[in-house]
Amino acid sequence: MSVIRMKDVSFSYASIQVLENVNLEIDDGELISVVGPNGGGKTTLIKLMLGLLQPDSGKIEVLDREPVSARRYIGYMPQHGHFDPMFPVTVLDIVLMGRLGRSSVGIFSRVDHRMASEALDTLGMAEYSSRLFSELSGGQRQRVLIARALACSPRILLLDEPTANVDIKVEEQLMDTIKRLNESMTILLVSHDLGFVSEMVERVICVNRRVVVHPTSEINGDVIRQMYEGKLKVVRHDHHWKRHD
Amino acid sequence: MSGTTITGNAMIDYFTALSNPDIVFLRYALAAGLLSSVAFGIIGSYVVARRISYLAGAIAHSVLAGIGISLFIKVRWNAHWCDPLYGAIAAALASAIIIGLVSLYARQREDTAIGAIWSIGMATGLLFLAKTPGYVDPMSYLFGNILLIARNDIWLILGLDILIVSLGTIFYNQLLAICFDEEFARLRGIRVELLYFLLLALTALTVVLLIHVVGIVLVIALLTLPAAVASQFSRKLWQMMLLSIVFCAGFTLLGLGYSYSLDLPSGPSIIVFASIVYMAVLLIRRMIRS
Repeated sequence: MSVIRMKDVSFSYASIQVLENVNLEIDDGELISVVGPNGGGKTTLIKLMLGLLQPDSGKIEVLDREPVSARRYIGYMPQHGHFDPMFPVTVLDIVLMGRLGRSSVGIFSRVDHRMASEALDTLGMAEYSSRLFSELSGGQRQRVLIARALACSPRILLLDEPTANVDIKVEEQLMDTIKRLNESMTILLVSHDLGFVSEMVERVICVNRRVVVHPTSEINGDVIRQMYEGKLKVVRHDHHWKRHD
Repeated sequence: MSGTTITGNAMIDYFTALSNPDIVFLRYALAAGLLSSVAFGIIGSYVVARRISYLAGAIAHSVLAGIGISLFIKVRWNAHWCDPLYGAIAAALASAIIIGLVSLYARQREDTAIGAIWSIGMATGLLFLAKTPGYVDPMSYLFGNILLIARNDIWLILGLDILIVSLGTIFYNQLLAICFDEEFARLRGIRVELLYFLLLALTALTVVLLIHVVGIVLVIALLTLPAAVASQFSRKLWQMMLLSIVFCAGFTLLGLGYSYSLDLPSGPSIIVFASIVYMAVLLIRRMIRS
């Protein structure tokens, strides 16, 4: 059963075509990765799924409904670059934002607080709950933003570059956490680092204006060259491509 | 040493004057200043946290159009009901809506459009003031004139305080989320545009409140400086709000004191005092850190 379906979806900013004729289906419970070059349309693809952008043509269904009305079942972690470092807000404040929209007035209940603490606990950030967001390192901020997405009690988790700007050790911890979370929800993981994700996902959505879904086992140098249009030299240390020869 | 004694005596004069029944305008000015500190602290914190002080500045300046037009109508057609304050409120709300629309939907050149609204508002106001029969001094409106404060103004400020405190409390978590990450707030089903317009409208009303005390040009500093100082000591938005209220009240109380004692205009006195504190705080923090 698929939880996200895109059929013949195209999208352009002004006159620049960003995505062309996208067809894909994401299965329930899947851990799937979105890879592709910068500016290739990865974030646009995510924003279409969230209903933050409307496609020029084609049809998008999330949990069998319009993306906008499926929003409350989705936990979304944006790229963390755009936050104001001076903003007076604590870690717990931010995670509680994941509980918003459940009542018309924004008073948080005891359940909201418990869910927020659990989410922080899952990401190993419980002891930081009263710290200022601006005092945290890059990796800690990523984890707080994942915790906020988790506090939404989502059925689908959309993570946009959760491992950007973090060191290898933190990256490995994050990947462990993501694998664990995948036991109870569908996870879509945007990454610019194909090597890292290919070891834990079954399928990879390759986005560079066009979208092709590959089983990880089929990914070889040709696929990568095609996707990056030869602009990028791929140097791998930690992953051995499976050859089909 | 003699300098401190003179200012010391001057402050005593100020407090004596406050209790003098013949100098009622000073008490009105102080009451207006202290009471509006509540609105200024809360709205100022939102404005600083959301980084829309430029929008608040444009709203404040376009208020002059409302003042000019209403004074013109009042004098020209002898319409006594047409108080400049009503004109100011109408203009502030109108420009809040226009500026809100521009900042939400103008894809490009948002700053140019808002700068234009800023100047058009002032120009319109000055033209109407120039054509108003008799002499109206634009300086009173631009830089404040506490002699213009009436008893009714105090009630108005009190009413607005109550409105802002209740709305600010009810929508605190939503507004916090919008100020921090608008996109995420939208995904949680918060009506982002509606609350954004609410924030701009409340900013507009707040700005109008202190026009007699500090004036159109300077009011934006009193909205942002207390919040900027407070943000240096706050870990949460509500702490920033409470501290801003205290700072704003302090700036008004002492600034008015100096202006009265040394016979200086009230608005510039308050603002210069506030900016000295602001710069001192930044400097001290920097020295402590390094």
